[in-house]
Amino acid sequence: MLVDGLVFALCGSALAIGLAGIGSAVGVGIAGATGAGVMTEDPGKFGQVLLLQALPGTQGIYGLLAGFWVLIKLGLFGGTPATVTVAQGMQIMFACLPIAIVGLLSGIAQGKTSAASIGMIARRPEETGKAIILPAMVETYAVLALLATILLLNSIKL
Amino acid sequence: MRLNVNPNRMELMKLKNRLAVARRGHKLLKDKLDALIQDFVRVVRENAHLRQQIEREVVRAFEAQNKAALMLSEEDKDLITVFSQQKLVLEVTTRRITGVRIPHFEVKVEGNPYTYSLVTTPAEIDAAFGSFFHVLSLLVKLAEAEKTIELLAVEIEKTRRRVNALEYVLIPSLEETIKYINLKLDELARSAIVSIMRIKGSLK
Amino acid sequence: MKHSAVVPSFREDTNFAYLVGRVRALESGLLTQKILDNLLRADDLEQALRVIAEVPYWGTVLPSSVRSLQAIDEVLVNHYWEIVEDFRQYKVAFPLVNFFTLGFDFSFLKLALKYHLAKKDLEKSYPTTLESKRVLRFFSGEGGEFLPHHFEMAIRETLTVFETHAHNVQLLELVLDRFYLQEVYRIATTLESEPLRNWLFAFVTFAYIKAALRARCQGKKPEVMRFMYFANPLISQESFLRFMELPSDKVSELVGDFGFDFLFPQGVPFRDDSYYLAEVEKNINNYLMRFARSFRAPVFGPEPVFGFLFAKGVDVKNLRIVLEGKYFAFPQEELRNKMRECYYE
Repeated sequence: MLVDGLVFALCGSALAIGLAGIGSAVGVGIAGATGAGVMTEDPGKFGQVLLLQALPGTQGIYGLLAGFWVLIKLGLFGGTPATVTVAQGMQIMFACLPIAIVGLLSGIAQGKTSAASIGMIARRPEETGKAIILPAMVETYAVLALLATILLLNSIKL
Repeated sequence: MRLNVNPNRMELMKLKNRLAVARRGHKLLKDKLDALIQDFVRVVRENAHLRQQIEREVVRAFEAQNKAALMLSEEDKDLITVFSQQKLVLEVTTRRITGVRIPHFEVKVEGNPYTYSLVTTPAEIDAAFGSFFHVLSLLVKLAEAEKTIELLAVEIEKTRRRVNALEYVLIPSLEETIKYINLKLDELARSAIVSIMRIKGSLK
Repeated sequence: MKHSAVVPSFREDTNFAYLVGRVRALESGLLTQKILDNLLRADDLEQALRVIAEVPYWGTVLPSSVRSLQAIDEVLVNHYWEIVEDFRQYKVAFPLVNFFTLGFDFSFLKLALKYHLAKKDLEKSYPTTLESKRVLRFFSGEGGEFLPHHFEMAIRETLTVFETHAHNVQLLELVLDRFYLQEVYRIATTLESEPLRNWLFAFVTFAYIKAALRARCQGKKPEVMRFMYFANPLISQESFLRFMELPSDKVSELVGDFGFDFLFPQGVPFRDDSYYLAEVEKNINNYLMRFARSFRAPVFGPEPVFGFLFAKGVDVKNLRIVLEGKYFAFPQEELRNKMRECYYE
């Protein structure tokens, strides 16, 4: 058998972990650069800056979660690996796409929003609460995507 | 104060001539003094006027300078003042006021004073330069007026001293001497008559 | 010259993220109208210095131990220069920071050149990216000394013009101003950000209009002003020189043709008067500031950095006006009238 369904399933898992991870990395990177800029002038802002920088990191975790979900579903962590047909493999791969794509884009978007919020607390430290809510709103869609991926994975019968 | 002369007719004649000349000179000098004082008063009045004007202009110029200083950094100030291409040409001629030689300054400023950037300097500095430019020519005028006053004052003092010398020293002493010679001559005449009368009496 | 929306590309985002972060933190140290009002209410310089010492950020920049006007000016200029120089180290920001250092460099160049021609020694040092020793060696024509290309060109042409035109110092200034504006224009064309480009174009255009109006007032001849013009699409040579030829009641029409009516004080007819032009200058500055305020909005990209550096320059200008004004005991209203608008209201 040249093409196993497992290939597609693992590809989906890799996409979820990889793309969401890239999104988070870029997002955290942008927020981090801005944060470093702020702290160059005002080192006292470390606490708030760290919090805001960490926010875009969640997409990577969601991606990892979805990826592991797939691996558990496939029984690759101990036990007997399930046999996957090509159709099932592709189903799993597509089920992974929401968190992969949304994770990538929302991670970057959240990173930008975080950077903007870091800029905001640099000027108005008293508004830290509001500044954290704004990038947290982006989180909603990453959570929704994760939810969609998990629901889709659960609906696939192996 | 009587002059030390021989009381004879020859001297009397001489002295009378001198007195006449002295009186005439006195009158002339007095007229000159009046004219000088008139000029002096006029120039002083003009000067006072000019001074007021200059004071106003200088205050205005310094205000303009301060206003410009608000907008300038130290480097700008350095840049503006380091190099000037203006040339000040001062022509001096003399004229006469009632026989006194008075200098007359003609000031000519050559070249554009605005030798600084039009882009990086503020416009206020133009006003400052313009005002000082104006003040400069006024100051030269003031210098001329002051010198005129000084020269006139010296001349007035000299003339007054001459008038006084004539009036209080020369003319009285001439008059006294003439009177004395007259008295002396009368005395001589009287003693001659007396001696003639005595000779006449002894002849009888 | 419209305030177009700022849509930075992705690449620029990350490049400027660090600098924007710094700028955001530094922006909290910019002066606001409120602080300036407090300063204006001070009775004299000493009180004003005490007020500024209490302002969080400026208290450290300008401690109350600094008393004399020269020292204050030096502190302010060096403060500004340090920030500009610091931002200049970052490669991404280099082209736009270049605009700010250029002003310093050309001022220094002019000063050095004037001292050189007056055969005096330049004793004081002023902020510049140029090395003064190298510049002086270049003047004296020693071989093997190289300056950045545009400075070399500027110096060569200035010296030639100076020699061939009966040592006219005016021309020295005009030619160097031309090179300055030309270089600003060149910087503008290299910038990727459209709003910044437009801002710099506006700067060059206004510089020409301002120079032309002042030249009128100073009675400079059009043939002299020709030395200041370089061929650019923003303002044609004919219209630039026409400013000096028109009778004064026609000037506002010509400015109106450019669409720059807002430069003239409201309801006051144009006249050839320095204080009127000072108003025009203020309006130009305020227009550029209002334009620059749109640079605050973008989260990334070069605009916030540029806006901040410009705002800092205006802050230094405003502080100088207030502090020197207090020293000379100018009335409050007059000083308020001279103040430029702040970056943050």
